[in-house]
Amino acid sequence: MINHIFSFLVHPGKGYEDPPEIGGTTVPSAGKLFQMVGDVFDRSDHECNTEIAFVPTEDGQQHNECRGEIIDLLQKPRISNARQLADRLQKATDGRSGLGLLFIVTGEQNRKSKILLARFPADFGVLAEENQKTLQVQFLERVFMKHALSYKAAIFSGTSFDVDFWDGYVVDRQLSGSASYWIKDFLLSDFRTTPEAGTRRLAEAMHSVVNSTSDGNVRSEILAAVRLAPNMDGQPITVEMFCERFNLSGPAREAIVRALRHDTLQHDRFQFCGNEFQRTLPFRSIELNNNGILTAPTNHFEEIFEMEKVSGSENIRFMTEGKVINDGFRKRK
Amino acid sequence: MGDLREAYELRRVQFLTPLAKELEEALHKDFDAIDRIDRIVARAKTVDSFMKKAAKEERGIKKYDDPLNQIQDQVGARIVSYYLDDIERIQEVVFRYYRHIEERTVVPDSESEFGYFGKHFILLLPKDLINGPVGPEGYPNFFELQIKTLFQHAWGEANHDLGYKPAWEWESEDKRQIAFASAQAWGADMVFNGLHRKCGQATEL
Repeated sequence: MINHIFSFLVHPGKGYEDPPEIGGTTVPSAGKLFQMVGDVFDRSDHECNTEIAFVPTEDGQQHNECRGEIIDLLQKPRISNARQLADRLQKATDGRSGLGLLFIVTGEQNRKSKILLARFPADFGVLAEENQKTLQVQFLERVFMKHALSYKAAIFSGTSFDVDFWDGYVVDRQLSGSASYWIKDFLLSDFRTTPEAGTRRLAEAMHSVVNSTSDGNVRSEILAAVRLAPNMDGQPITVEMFCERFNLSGPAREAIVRALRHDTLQHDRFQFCGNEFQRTLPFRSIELNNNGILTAPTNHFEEIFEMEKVSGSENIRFMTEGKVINDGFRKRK
Repeated sequence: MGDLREAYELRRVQFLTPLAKELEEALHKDFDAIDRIDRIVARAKTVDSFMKKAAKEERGIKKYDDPLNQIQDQVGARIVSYYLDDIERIQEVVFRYYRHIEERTVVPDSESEFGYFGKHFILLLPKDLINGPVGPEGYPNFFELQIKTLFQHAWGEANHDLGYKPAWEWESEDKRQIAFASAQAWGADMVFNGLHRKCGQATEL
């Protein structure tokens, strides 16, 4: 159930000394626009699939300015309180993002208060109107489309204004590199899962599969992905996206997902951290049927050991050279 | 209050106690490579402790109108380190793997007082540990983590236990003795931390 809809035309303002005024209005609770926004509100739980959390202020207090403005608006749903969020978006938006139409919708769903912030980017379009025998076409500027790549939305819900609304969900199809201006600069938040926690989860799943699978193809695919994974450093990723990016086969993907604590974690987004990946999978080790063991840092294994197939057999020949710095005995492999 | 007690008892059995066990295992894994940690423990808040907190008042008004939702330390964890300098190292690892919404250094109100010392965090529970609904009838969204030195922990535990003794009224001399014990713990921390630093510098040389 929707209680209020506010709308603001937000020009870029980041770095501007005198940013343009923000025009705003309350959308009436009837009509086509209300219905359209209502649909967006209802579908937002499915569309907003990236979980985020507000970042507290640097003094360590349980406070975040954007969250505070959201709570103010939920407690007192006035256009002046909604405008605070529009101002915040303007200060976070630079010229690259251009003009946007911001809808702020408050309401209730599943017995919780819910708020949707949705930014429609400006585009141009053509209006075609036909009379009986004629057609009139008109160029339209400032058409705001939801299907555009640069549509962004965020939802937060809860029952307690004291302790809820610390995490929420976003849709941002332009996520690349570190989280976008929508998440970091406007919402003052970050992915709910830290880079290290998400990367470690992925690396451990891959480690578990490689060490337990009897499927040689699955093992090879994952080892190849491990070799290339450090190139992903800094990129927002999910386990699912990682498997797609490296073109892993169905059995390999299923094995990795099975190795997660629960399969919904495959959709959890985090920023890939090369250092954590290396920390979790520091060494690769190959054991041969002649009891020989080769061990080297994962990301340099194939530089250190050259491999070549021995013709006419399943054997592989490994070659390496270096100065001996340690030669002794061990009690275990 | 009867309903609340029953609701918390149920939540504690179904969610909080198993969660505390998993959280303790997770923390052990996080700190596996970190030395000079004495212990890592996690627990679900006892029913009596929860009910006591739920009944708290501030200026004559109940602090919590929705305690099942509002009380953020229904699951709590503690990491006990050897030395003061270790606290910062441990905090770095905490921030590596957990999102925090609050970070507090708890110290007595004035520099001339001695009492409770500790580092407290309110952290979002990692999604890996949540496999069900989040809310008053399911998993909590947060847990509290405390980081203390051995001496801070010893004083904290002994003082906490005394606080639960029935029908006891502190005399001012008793309070002074408790503060004195805290000062001694503080002093021991300073001494050992200083010696640890000296050792470390000597080793580097």
